[in-house]
Amino acid sequence: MLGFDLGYLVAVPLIGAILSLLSPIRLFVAVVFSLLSLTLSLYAFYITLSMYEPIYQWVGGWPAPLGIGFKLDGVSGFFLMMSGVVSFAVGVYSLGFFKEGYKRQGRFFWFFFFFLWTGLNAFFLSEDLFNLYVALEVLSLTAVVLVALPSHRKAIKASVNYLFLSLFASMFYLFGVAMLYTNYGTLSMSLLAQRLAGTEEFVFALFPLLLALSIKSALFPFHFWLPPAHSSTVAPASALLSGLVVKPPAYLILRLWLDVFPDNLSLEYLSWVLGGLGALAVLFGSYYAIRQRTIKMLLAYSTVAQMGYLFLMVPIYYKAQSLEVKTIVLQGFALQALSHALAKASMFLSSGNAIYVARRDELSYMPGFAHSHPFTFFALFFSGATLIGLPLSGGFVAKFLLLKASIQIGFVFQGVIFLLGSLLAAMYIYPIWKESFSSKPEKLYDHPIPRSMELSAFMLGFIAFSIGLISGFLIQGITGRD
Amino acid sequence: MLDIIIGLLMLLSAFASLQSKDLLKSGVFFVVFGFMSGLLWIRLSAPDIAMVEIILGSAITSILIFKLSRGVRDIAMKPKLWRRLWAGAGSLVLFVFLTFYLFTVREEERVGGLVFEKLSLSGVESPVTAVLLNFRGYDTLLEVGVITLAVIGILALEPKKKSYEWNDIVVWRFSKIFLPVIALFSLYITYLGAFSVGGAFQGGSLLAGGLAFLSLSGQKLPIRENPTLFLAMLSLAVFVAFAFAYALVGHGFLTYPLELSTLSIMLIEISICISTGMLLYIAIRGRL
Repeated sequence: MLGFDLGYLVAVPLIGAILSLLSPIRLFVAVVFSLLSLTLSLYAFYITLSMYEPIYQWVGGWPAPLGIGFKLDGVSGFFLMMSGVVSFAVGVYSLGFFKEGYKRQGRFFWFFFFFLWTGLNAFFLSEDLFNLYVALEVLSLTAVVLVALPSHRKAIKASVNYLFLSLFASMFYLFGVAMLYTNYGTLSMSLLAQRLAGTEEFVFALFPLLLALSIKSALFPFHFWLPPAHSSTVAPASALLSGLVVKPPAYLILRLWLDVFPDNLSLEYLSWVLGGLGALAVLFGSYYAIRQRTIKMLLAYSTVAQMGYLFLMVPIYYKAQSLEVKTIVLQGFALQALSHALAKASMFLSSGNAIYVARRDELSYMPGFAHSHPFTFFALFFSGATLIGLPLSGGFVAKFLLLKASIQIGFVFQGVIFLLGSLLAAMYIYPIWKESFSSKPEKLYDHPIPRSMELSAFMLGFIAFSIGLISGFLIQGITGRD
Repeated sequence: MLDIIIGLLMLLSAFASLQSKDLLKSGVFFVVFGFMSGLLWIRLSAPDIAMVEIILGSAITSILIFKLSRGVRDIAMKPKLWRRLWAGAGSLVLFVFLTFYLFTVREEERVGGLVFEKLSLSGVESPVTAVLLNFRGYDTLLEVGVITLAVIGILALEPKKKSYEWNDIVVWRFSKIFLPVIALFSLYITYLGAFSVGGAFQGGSLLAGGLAFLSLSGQKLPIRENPTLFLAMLSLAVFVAFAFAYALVGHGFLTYPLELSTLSIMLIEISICISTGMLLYIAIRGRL
């Protein structure tokens, strides 16, 4: 650990946020600090690849019951890498995006961009429940402002709805944390895990915690805030929101289940509730996505569906006895989150490109798009393939791992949902491909797109697709966990 | 008994906030809700969370809500029936759970004793300040970030509009005469935070009150836009600079060396005081 402090991961993007607001050379600051933050995220991931034990660091030098801890292990390193790569690509995209239109938004965008990155890093590193709450607040507030950024009516209405809902969710979360604190006298997850063993009272705290986190990650009956919020804002903000912001709460649910809560009979029913809601999310999210006629709404509903997979595997994880199966589920979870983050960000960015040239966001306005802008089309193609889960893509490997785990335990139900979900995903991705291929390019579409906008979308899609080939390397850190 | 009243008021205000058709009204009720939950935290003997809750939950978010609500006043916000049913069912289940939970509370050793034990190593004499800026300084750093974020969010969303003014000679005179005194006193309270009751957030709120009067009287501070923004971001910058610098030197993130801790905490506190004042001033004016 010589020379590397986990605090850098929080401090560097935060300094980037401050400087990008205050200094006159905003774009220069943005480029430098994006590169620095990306390097740090990748380095943290690199550390996790070759370690056997999680790294703990006490902020301020005060150990657990008093102070706050950073914890870096395989899973958190993986998620840090995910948010780093996606944020960086969206940053590259925004360099071109705010040059042309949206000048006023461009002035403030970088501040929120870096703050979001700070919040993500702080969230994935923290192991203190109250600190996680604060990081979650940072994420939610950034997200609310990002939703309202275009400041037309639709966006502001969506953002107000989102604000109310996420504040209520935060309050539930805080209640849950307070209950755990009054009963067990600590906020640190590792200490809590020791103190929880053999007790029953924590079940009451679990309920508001899970409710809050499922609202924030848009699990099925609580998903209604997501489509308007994610679809009404500008393309880079949509990509950040849909690709990254919904992931941390789901990650925290996994983390609680994984590290904190002991085996307990009542938890089995709860895990089935989460799994069932996840299945409903896959089916209903895909169904609504199929019915949409505008690209952004379609993509937003697809996020609901894809997030469902993350919850679907909670009962598998819970039921699995052997460490091997548990590891497989964990790897599937991480890969599904990563491939969805990359693919969905790429989708939103390239739909931003499509809107940029067509000036409309209906699907029927993009005929012939593939002829005029092949790079953007390939981005749509690769990321679509990942969302469906075509072989070789990241989505395929993730679903394959989960399918394998569910078969090994003998759960047919999950397997059926995986297959149905892929079929439905193909049904909503297909129209995008079809429309962009269909007829000859129109003159209107000769309008050139800034190169950084096309390249970043393409790179994200390409990485999402080719994850399948290097997945063994990516999940190495998670496997080496125990 | 008091707890039950607070709980009932919370339920009522939450219900009213969700039911009202006017966004502004539901915003007001939301403020009441936030304030009540702040009181509840005090009753749960967690005054630091209460303070944050009242500042964040009521003050900052309500300003954000009011600013946003201006844009959507005329959109009908009547919630749909099934959504109401969901909310009702959810709160009923939560209520039952909370009632059950009340019977299971165990009083276990919390960190209070530990705070006093380590107080001498923190560089300040007031336990609250020690927790806020040393033991759990990282939380405070992120909280300062949240406050800054909310206000910059207001700035980013607000088109340049005239802010509300109250052209009254009394207000004008008052702000002119008392602002320097208030500024001085707020710094004193901030300084006092190191020894006893007081601290940066309280001092900052006081400063914000003085600045709010100034802005209501139609005056503005005799500094230009960029320095205003700079002052508003000062606390975050100073805080993160300290944290980062100590990590670079090798002490670890936000780890004050013992001999420098009093000085560091003092500087951070003063910057938080100034920034909180400026941020709330910007939030009230709605522009720089």
